[in-house]
Parts: sequence; structure tokens; C-alpha cells
Amino acid sequence: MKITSRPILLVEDDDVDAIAVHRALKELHVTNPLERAENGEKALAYLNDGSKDRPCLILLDINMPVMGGIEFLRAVKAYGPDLRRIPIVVLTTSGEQQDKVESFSIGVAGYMKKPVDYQQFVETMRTIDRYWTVSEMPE
Amino acid sequence: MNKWRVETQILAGFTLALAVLAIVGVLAYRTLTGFIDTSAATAGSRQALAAFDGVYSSLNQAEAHQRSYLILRDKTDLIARQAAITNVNRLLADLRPLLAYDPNQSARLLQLQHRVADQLQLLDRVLKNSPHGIEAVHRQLASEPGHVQMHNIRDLLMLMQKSETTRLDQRRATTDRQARETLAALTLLLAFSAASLSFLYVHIRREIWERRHAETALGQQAERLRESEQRMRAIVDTAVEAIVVIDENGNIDRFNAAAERTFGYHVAEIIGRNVSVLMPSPYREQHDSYIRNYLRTGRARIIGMRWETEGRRKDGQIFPIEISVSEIRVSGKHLFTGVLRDISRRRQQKQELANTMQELQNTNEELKSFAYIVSHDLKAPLRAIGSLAEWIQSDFGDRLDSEGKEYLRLLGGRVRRMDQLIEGILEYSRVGRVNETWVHVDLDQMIHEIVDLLSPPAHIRIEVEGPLPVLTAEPTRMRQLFQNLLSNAIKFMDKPKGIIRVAGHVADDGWRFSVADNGPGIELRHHERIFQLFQALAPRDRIEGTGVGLALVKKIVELYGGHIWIESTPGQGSTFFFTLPKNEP
Repeated sequence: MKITSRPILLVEDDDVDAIAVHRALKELHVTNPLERAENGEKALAYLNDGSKDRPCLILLDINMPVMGGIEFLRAVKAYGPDLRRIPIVVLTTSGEQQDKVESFSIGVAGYMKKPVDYQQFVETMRTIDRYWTVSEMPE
Repeated sequence: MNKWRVETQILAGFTLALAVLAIVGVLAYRTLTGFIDTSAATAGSRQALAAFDGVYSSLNQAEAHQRSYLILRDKTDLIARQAAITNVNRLLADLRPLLAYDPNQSARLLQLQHRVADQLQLLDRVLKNSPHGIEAVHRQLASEPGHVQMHNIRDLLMLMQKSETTRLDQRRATTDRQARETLAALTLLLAFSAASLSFLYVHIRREIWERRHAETALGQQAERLRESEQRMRAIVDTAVEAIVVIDENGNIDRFNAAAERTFGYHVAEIIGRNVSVLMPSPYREQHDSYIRNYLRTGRARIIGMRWETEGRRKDGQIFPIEISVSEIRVSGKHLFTGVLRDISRRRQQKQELANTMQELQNTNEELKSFAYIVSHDLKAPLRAIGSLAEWIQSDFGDRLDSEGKEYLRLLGGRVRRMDQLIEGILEYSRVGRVNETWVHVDLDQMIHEIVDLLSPPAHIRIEVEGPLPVLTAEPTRMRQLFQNLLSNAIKFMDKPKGIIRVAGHVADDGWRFSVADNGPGIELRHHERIFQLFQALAPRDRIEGTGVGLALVKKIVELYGGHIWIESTPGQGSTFFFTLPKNEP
């Protein structure tokens, strides 16, 4: 990650998936703290909480209870420009064309499918990390 | 024409008969009056002749009776003398009208009257002056002028008698001639009449015979017509469909039994009424102007066509009908025949069918999304199982013996297989569910991309009999189609030198493609089964397969309107054929 001081926000309802992300980041020696929100609503609450650090990246699941990923994306877009500046990478099991189209229409920075195999998952996470290490980010 | 001739003939016959009768009447009248005149004249003449005799004899009697009185002085002679004189005077008075016809006779009568009067004066003088007895008689007898006078009277009377007799004869002769002439004329006329009437009779007789003949023929024709009419009526009345015939004014002319049943009107109450009573608004109001418009312009939108509209029953119920109207012209007048049927039931069935279809579609839709959701939701926990198994192996591997590690390896393998299965179902259920975007797909290019992707082992050669067409289709589906067939051929190849041929040719109604291999082949009994979902033939552990591939291929081909089949010789290879219709966007 280009910026190591700020946390990565993981919006994910599945505990095992959350562990997988946690393990993968550890394996990849990513030092940013990992914050987790179980759904879109909780993620919005986190972002609106002034006491919390603003994340440098959001990893977003699509299929979640209470508020799903697409709905969360729409909500973020409705907020001011400083929320919209945070890059969001979709990390999901959904390979649906419709989900991809909607995500990119709203303006996501990337769309990754969670592989079933953990090692492949680690590779996916490595790609994300590499990209955002090379890519510039707004402070 | 015939009729007129007969009547004219009869009229002519009657006129002739009347004319003959009139002529006969006139002739008969003339003849009869002639007879009456003649006989009256004859009677008058006879009376006159008798009177002539009477005058002379009565004068003689008067003289004889006076003589007798003078001799015998018998008073009765005097009375008889007076009676004879009275008789003479009466006869003379009688003669005046009888002889009035002839001035000569009248003049003679006047002369006679004078002479008789002179004679009677002479007799009176003798009777008054003479004494009684023989001398008086002598005196009387001796009075010469008395004798002369009597002679004169006798001569005059004879002259008158002769004249009267002549006239009588002449008159008889005239009457006789007239009678004969009349008779001749009558005979001639009667003969002519008889001839004419006979001719007329024969003629009329023949005419009547001809007419009767014609009438019989006409009767037979009428009978045939009636029979034909009855037959037609029977056909119309027993027709299953309602038949309503209307005239140019829209009035009902005929209404069959089916129409009675359909509309609830009895034929007797509906005939002559306007057909608009069978229609609900707004057709009811428009109908008259429709007919008028048609008769004026000759243009009709509905004649000869079959269309659906609404009818109105006697009880006011409105119901859907299917109707066709045709036009007939009978002796210059238009008649319109409407053949119609109540389609309430059909409508109802249609609606029911539509409802069922909707329900089916809904169910189908639910099923599709159900397959998708289930597959999708199955994946998350599966991934978790896989991850957890791996973490156990990496974190706690040193605490597991070789058997435990083997179990975890098997677990990982099964998780992958299940993931592929679910992925297969997802793919399968996605076909036809998602709205697809059709674009031009260059199959030649696509096949090469697929071959690159599959990177077949060195002993298998893939040949493409090009050029393959450019189709309008969803590219992902085309890729799945060829990729599945090719990967199957590669996966099952059992020969040291494998050859796979892909070909596409123009067929009757589109394209016919084939993917042929020289692999193990498939027995005929499996040819149906291989296209069904989860029906892989090889054991899972030997060759990895989801059992979705061919089912997916079949679904794609059929979605595009084609069909797929296999020809195979076990041990020598298989050829998969499929067709795709030419679809222009």
C-alpha cells in the first residue's frame, strides 16, 4: 500500500472470508490496520464517525444482509466528494454481469472475484496490494 | 301474351255475338211491327168491308121495315126500321177512322154519307106524308128517285169495297216479302254467327289447352322451387352457426334456429325489426350509416371478412361474437347475410390459457432464479470449507499424521469439484435467463482463441475446415458452445495421435456445424443420456467433469433454434452435429 498509516475497510458479512482477508494481508506483510464492517449500513456508520480514521481503501462484498454492496455504493456516491474519493475494490463471489455493470457504472476502482482456493485468493490479494502500492492515492 | 290473346278473342266473340243479336233484334222488331201493322190494317179493312155490307143491308132493312109498317101498321116494324137507321149511322161513324188513311176513300165516305142521308130523308118523307095502306106502299115503291138513290149507294159501296180489297192485297204482299227477306237475313246471320262462334270456340279451346299445359309445367316448376326453398331453409335452420339475413334498410329478413338460441329472440318477433337490436352501443348507432355508406360508395371494410365484435341478447346481455358478412343481390336488391357464433366460451378458454401461461411463466421464472440463488448461496460456505481445510493444513499440518493430511487433501479436491458443479449449474441457469446482447461473432477467430485457451497437448491436432461464418449471437454462448465440445474431445482422447476437426457448412435453413474426433466414441444407447444434466459417463476420479457441459451445449443450441445430435462408432470416434439458423438482426 502506498499509504500505510491509514486503515483498510473491509465490508464483509462472512467471518471466514474476513479471516481469509486478514490472513492474506498478514501473509503479504501489509501493515495497514484492517477495519471490518458487517454490512453497508455499518460501513456508512464507520465512515461518518469522525473519531475513526478515514480508510485509504475499501474492500466491498456485494451480497450482504441489511445493506448490500451495490446499495452501499449508491449511498456513498450520494455523499460529498471526500467520501467519493476513497477507492473501492469490489471483492465478491458474484460473477453476474449485472453486478459488474452496476459497480463500474457507479465508479468502483476494481472488481475481484473471490476464488474458492485460498492460495488463489492470496494471489488476488497480492495483486490488489501491488496495484495500490504502485498507484497514487489521494491523501 | 297468350293470356291477352285469349281474352281479346273472347271479347271479340262476345262483341260479334252482341252485334248479331242486335241486328237480329232490329230485324225481328221491324218484321214484327210490320206484321202488327199489316194485321191491324187487315182487320180495319175487313171491318170496313163488313161495314160496307152492313150499311147497304141496314138501309135495305130500314126500307123493308118501313114498307112492312106502311102495309101492316105494325109498330114493331117501325122500331126495327129505327134500329136499322141507327145501325147505318153507327156503321158510317165507325168507317170514318178506318178510312182516314186514304183521302180518296175519305172523300168517297163523305159522298156516301150524303147519299145515305138523302135516302133516309126520302124514307122519312114518305112515312110522314103517305096514308096508310097499300097506296102508301105503292107510292113508296113508285118513288123513282128512291130506287136510283139506292143504286147509286150500292155502286159507291162497291167501288169503296174494291179499293179496300186492293189495298188489303197489296199490304199482304208487302208483308210477305218483308217476312221472307227477314227470314233470309236471319238465316244468313245465324249461319255466320254459328261459324264464327264455332271458330272462336275451337280457338279458345286450343288456347285453354295450351294454357293448362303451360300451367302444369309451371306448377311442376313451382313445386321444384318450393322443394328447393324448403331444402335451403332446412340447411339454414339446422346450421350450427347463427345466420341473420338483413335487407338494405337493415331490417331482418331471415333468422335461423341457431340465431334464435344465440340471441334469445323468437323468429316471429324479430323478423322485420332492425338488426341494430342485436347490437350493443356504440355499434347499434353506427350500423345504419354503415349500410348507407356502403350502398352509396360500394366500399365496405367488413364484407367478406371474419372479425370479432359484440352481440346483444334479448335480455340485454352483451357477449363476444365472431362474424362474417356476405352480400347477395336478389332481383336488384341487396341482402346481407351474417354468419356468426358466440365465442364467449372460446374467449373464456383463451383467458384461462393466458392465465395458465402466466402462471407457468412465473413458476419457470422462479425456478430459474431459484437455481441461480441456490447455487450462489452454496458457494460462500463451500469457499469457507475450502479455506478452513487449507488453514488447518498450513497452521496445524505438523500436528497431523499422514492419514489426516490425506483426508484434508481429499476434502480440498471435493470442494473444488463441488465448486465446478455449482459453477456449471450457474452457467446452465444463466443461459436464456439474462438478456443477452447479440453482436457479430467471427467464429473463425473465436475457434482460434478457444484452441489457444485450451492449449491441447502435443499429440492432439485441431483442424478447422474454414472459413467458418460470422454469426449474429451472444459471444459468450458461442464460446461456451465450441469450448465445451472441443474440451470434451481433448479430455476424452484415448489415441496416441488425436485429430479433432471443426467444420461449418451452409445447410437448408441455416448453418450445420460438426466437431469430429477420433476418440473412444460413445455407444448408441448413451446418445440420449449424454445431453442430460449431470450424466457424465466417465468416473469422476479418473476424468474431471461436471456433467453440465453437453447439457449446456444442448441448451444453447436449442435456445438459438437449432438442434444437436451425435453420430459415433465406439472405438473410432464421435461427431457432434448441430445446426444454427441464419439469423439476421
